Amino acid sequence: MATLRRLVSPYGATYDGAVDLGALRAAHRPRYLERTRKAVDGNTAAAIPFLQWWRSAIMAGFPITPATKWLEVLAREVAAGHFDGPAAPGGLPSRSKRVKLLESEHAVADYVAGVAAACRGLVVGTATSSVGLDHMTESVRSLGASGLGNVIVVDVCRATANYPLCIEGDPSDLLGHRDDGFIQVMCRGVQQIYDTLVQLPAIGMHPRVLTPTMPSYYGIKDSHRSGTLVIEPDDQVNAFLDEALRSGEGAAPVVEDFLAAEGAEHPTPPGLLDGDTALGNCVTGDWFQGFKLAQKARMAATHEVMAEVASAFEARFGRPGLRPLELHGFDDQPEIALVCMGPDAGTAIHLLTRMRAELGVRVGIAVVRLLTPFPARALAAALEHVAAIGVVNNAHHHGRGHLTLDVEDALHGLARTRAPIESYFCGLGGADVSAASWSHMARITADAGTHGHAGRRWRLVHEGIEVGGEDLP
Amino acid sequence: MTSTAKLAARLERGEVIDVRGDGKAGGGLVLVMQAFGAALAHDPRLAVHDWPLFSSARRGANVRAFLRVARGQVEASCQVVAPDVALLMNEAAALEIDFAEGTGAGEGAIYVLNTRSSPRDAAARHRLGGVVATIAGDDLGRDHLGRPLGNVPVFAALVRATGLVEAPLAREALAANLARRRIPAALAAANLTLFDDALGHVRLAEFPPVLASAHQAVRFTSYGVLPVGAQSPLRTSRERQTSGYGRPGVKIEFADPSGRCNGCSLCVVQCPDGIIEFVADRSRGAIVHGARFDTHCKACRECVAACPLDLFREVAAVTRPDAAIEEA
Repeated sequence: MATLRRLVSPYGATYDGAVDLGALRAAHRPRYLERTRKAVDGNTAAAIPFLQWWRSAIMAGFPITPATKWLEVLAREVAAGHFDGPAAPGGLPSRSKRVKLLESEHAVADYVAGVAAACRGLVVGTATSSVGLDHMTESVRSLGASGLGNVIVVDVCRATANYPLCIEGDPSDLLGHRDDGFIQVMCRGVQQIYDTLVQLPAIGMHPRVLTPTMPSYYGIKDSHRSGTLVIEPDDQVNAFLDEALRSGEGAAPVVEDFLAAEGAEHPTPPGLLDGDTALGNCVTGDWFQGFKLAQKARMAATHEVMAEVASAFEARFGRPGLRPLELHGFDDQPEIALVCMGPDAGTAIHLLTRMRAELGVRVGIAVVRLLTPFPARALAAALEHVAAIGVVNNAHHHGRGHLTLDVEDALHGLARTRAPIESYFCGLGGADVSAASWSHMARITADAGTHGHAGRRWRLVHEGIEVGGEDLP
Repeated sequence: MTSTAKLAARLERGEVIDVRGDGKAGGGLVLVMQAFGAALAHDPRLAVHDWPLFSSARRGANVRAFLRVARGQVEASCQVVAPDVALLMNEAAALEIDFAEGTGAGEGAIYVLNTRSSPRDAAARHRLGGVVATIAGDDLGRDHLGRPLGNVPVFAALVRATGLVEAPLAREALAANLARRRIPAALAAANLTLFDDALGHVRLAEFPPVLASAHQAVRFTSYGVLPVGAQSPLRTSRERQTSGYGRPGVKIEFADPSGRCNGCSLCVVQCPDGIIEFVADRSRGAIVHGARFDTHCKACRECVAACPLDLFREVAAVTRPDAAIEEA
């Protein structure tokens, strides 16, 4: 790549072969010149932004169902020569993008960390699923604390369990990595997947956040579901990210500033700079806590920065920006609320009018998009006055459910409400969450709103009936 | 008003149209749904979702695919349980499931079947009321492509039966799908000719509604007792013989009259169903003498590919679907 240069870091270290972002930007060959409508599946929708960002020069991966197509799309596009520049005399054409295939997921995560650390102005991504994400665990947990907000690990949700192996979508992989230090966002449908990807690096790379991101969508139910996608032109997608990184608090330094500066007037970002190692630094316990506190503060800044980025997205593209929560049926103060996420939330939204009519109760649907950091305040504010809440968990948990614990914490800690919380498991392993199941869960929740907590710690609902549960003593 | 016209009218009214297809893995069901979805999505007012439902099933296992189309937005992601259009790609799939499940209520659905049977015979056999479209897709596939592949003819039948997209637009969507799959130009052209030919071979008829109970879903009641660690008895049980997943028209044979098997055991290792029969020989290895083909072989061809001495081969068998059903 003829896009390397000599760089002097704020520490005075000199690096030959640092990525020349200006040259990389100039070398980008736009994939979409105008707004384009196209029928694609979820994996393709998640791959397209990597083709469009001039900052995305290297994509890495290892195949795993149901995420493989993400990698195939990128590899196919690059191999087709869409990003080839003029050939060097007697040589191969220079390429502004490369796809790196490695021997396993742990190697992919290490590689991504290396590229991201080598140049913080790049967006570096991979996609994986289930045990693939588990196989990345060592690097991913380190990455979470590294300050490398330019890393994107797309998680195509699949149950983390090989007994029995199940390739359908279930967020237990994502939820098993809640505390790795990634900003985790759940998407449903191709447009939400694409729009989320377009916005996430603007959040993760923001100087106040500098935290890697993990966009996710359910395997099969969304990875393999095709729908019509509106793709924005490359120049708009890139201008959006470039401008977002330069906005925020006006004079906030951006990544390029760190790179260009001699170091004096800007604070040192967490993690280190180009060429320095970002992983493996050793501290004592006393200092470790301090680093964790700082990491937590950066993670918490996600809430504010996300709002800024979402507004900028809405202004530029005219579609809803990334919000931590989606509320449906909340215009008339719902009596009960169902909290859920993922593709099945779409079914609940579709059925909302019918559920309200069936029960004669004002039902609201709260769809959680931002899982980490969990939008506890926003959720508490939205649900403070409902009479009962039903939480729908799609991943196996030995207690009441991952999402239930978060909702209980948000409500009982912040909203000062003691509204009963009914906990459901439905759609484990990507099982169908049918209209009959939604009706059942809404009915139990409505009963709890009238008569109080209905007496079971949790219930497993399938095809409209309770196939399991735990009775309270 | 025919059911076909009602379908278009419902779409106009803003209702969601549900399509469900059943077939066997490797039979081209996904291509049909994708091409149909792309053709529908040509109308910018329509939102279309299509997605397959499959497991880690090998070739020959039952698979399902769904398509949902509406004006504006499609939010529902649950499976289609009461389809407006039910498609049967392979009649062998219907030996294990009711492809028309959930269609009994109301005024009748649209059914598309890959079969040699007439719409009348198919309607009688599967108890169908509404529009029934049949096409001898495998025969047409054999004529044009040299393989009994009925997906493109079934796509043509779906286009004709639903009347929701014009044939030229559907052809364009099919061509785009084949190009995306990098089907070689000559084969893609043969598929498009097959599509054109198939349009003229679709047989359509409309029948009075059947009782709502005819295709009522079997209500799920319980998971019962499952084996620890998902060690399913499926593979080798007497009751649940996996040969039911096999592709119709073929079977695998093992022949080694001169005792050439070298005991390498590659077939034993590769067979997903563990049905290769052998005698352990201390010096030579696993000397194979056959396999439980009739009861448990899904004709996946792993043994054919694995054997270095070509002792396994795929041979023609009586085509199961039509033959089996006509006997019944």
